[in-house]
Amino acid sequence: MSTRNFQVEAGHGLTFEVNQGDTLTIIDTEGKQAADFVAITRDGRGDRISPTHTRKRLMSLFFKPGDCLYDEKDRPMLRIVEDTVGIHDANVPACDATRFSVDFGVEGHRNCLDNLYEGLKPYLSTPLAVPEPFNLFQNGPVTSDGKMQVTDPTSRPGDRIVFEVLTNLVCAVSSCPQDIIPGNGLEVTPIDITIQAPAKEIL
Amino acid sequence: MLLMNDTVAPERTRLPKQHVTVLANEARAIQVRRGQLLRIEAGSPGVVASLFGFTEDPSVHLSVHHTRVFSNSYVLGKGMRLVTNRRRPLMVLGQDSVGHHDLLLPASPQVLDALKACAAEVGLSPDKWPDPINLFMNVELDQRGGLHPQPPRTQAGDHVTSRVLIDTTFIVCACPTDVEHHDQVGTLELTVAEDLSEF
Repeated sequence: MSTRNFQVEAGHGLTFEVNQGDTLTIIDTEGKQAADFVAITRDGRGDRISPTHTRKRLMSLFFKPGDCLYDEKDRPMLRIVEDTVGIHDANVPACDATRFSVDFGVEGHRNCLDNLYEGLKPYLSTPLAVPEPFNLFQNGPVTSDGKMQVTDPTSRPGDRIVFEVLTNLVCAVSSCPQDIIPGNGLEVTPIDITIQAPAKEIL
Repeated sequence: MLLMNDTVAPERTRLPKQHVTVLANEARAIQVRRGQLLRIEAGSPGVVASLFGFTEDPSVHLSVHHTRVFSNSYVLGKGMRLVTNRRRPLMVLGQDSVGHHDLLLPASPQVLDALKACAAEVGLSPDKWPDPINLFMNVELDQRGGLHPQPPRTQAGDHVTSRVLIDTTFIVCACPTDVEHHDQVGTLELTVAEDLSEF
């Protein structure tokens, strides 16, 4: 078993590769921090995991251990094997420059779309081609009249979600830099990542 | 008096009414200019209109995901702005005789194929195919996040009408959606006009 550990700096992004059979753990190091997560296949076709297609397979906004995250062709890409939080979002698009400029009048703010695109440039033609994200640890409760409540994560320091990787992927994670509205407890913190590869068979 | 059409008047002349029929299992495009009204009408009971819209720069498109977060709503209601993936209002749901639409589910393979064929016909090749706005689709959402398709209540003649705020090429698909209760196919009627009196 070999293990790789990375830390995503608060408000920044990180891109990494995982292989079929790996175990991918994403950790909310200090708690109350959303981690936008996207993945693209490394089979040359560049298929993307899709919250919309996953929602249809699960007929639910939410996912739980045993469920898979699917790509746009309805193929399972990752299986959730452990989740110490149980609350994630697969609904809100990545914050981008316009989230800050249009909604809050702030120019030049760090944002998830640019964080995700930074490492995915070799795979994508423009930032607008970045897949829709799964927002791990983000909390978007449904109100009785179908509205989205804008609120902070329930995650505590060290909370984690663990995936079995089902196909070779390039993944990107952004520690969401949103520090204006509820979403990260008004304080942006790092995200830790651990990738465990199974021991190679000795031939 | 300065109304929407007076404000766009210096930019373009008043345009004649347009009408396009989308046949069952097909998709059709219709161009709508800023200030015009777009009406999408069901030709038979239970049909779904899978709606896509591309601006002059096709990487900027109608975005169901940004539309949800723009109004902090999982469901589409009258008066809501439907926005682009750059968070600019593209159209407003101004009239709605149905009251149930879906903002959460993806295009079926049939919808995606029809979208791609229609886009190619009108010379559109976006970097990423957007997810649809599923007009007339009836899916209940419970507070635990569960999605429950219900029989659609749409009848022939039911329609939605929207004021369009950005020049847009819309593509509307009348295909099976692969969602329970929503595989009835039929025609859809698309009409574009400057004023409600023209419908």
